[in-house]
Amino acid sequence: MTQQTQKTTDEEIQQLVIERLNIFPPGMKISIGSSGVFSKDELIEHVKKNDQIGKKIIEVQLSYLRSLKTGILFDE
Amino acid sequence: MNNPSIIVTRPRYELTTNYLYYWAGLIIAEAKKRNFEIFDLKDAKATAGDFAGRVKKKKPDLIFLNGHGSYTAVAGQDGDILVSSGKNPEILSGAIVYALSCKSAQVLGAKAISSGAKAYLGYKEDFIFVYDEQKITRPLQDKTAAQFLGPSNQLMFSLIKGNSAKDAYKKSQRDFKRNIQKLSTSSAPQQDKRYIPLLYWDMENQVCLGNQEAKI
Repeated sequence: MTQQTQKTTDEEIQQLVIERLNIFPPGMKISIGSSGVFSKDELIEHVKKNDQIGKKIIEVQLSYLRSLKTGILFDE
Repeated sequence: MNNPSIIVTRPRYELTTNYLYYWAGLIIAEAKKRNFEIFDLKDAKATAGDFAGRVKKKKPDLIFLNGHGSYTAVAGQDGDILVSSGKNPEILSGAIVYALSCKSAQVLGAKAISSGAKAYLGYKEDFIFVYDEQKITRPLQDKTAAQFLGPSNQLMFSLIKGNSAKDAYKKSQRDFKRNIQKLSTSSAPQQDKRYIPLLYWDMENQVCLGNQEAKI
């Protein structure tokens, strides 16, 4: 039961990140250091594959979502 | 009293380094205005040999590294390793260093400080930025890339103006935060809000190691 819940949660996170990437503006490229330069469609593919780049993008998105709980970005 | 000196490495061999190359040019222009002695190791001059030779001879006050990096190293032209934690961290001794490069603050930065660098500013993880494909021949006119590279440059402008490492770091953090806040307003285009997590990533992973009060 616990494993099933965890699996569902991971899939939900993956889907959330894909949805966030989907509304990324067209014509923009994302430079991720020596990993390379990616279009939003390429990043979505990496997230779907859950490879190293995909995991990095998920980490970036989760890091930001966690920051919203702390209020660090909007305090004065 | 001698003029302060700065060494800038700015390789250029693909799109990412091309952007960093042009944005570092703004720092060089500011340093010129302020009568710095400038050593601009650009393109094919951004090699390990040229870098080591210049640093050893000139003992610069500031070192501004642009290029690809890893936890342990920062590279120059075509990936040539300029400085690494295992080989030559002492080359940064006596200088304030800013590495606009991925990950290097984590291992190389710490090693540089224990080897005598006054301060090491950089990023613990990948430095991520977004650019507009329509602007690749005019990187300085790319307003999207400016969201990321502007706060980065603020750090160097502050150091050149004589601010301490800590204050330069704070000003850069402030600019990242301002850009995030501007993009968070209801008047910002909805699509542009997608940059916010990437900006926050850079802000969160930027660090200032060593003597916080170090200045030129």
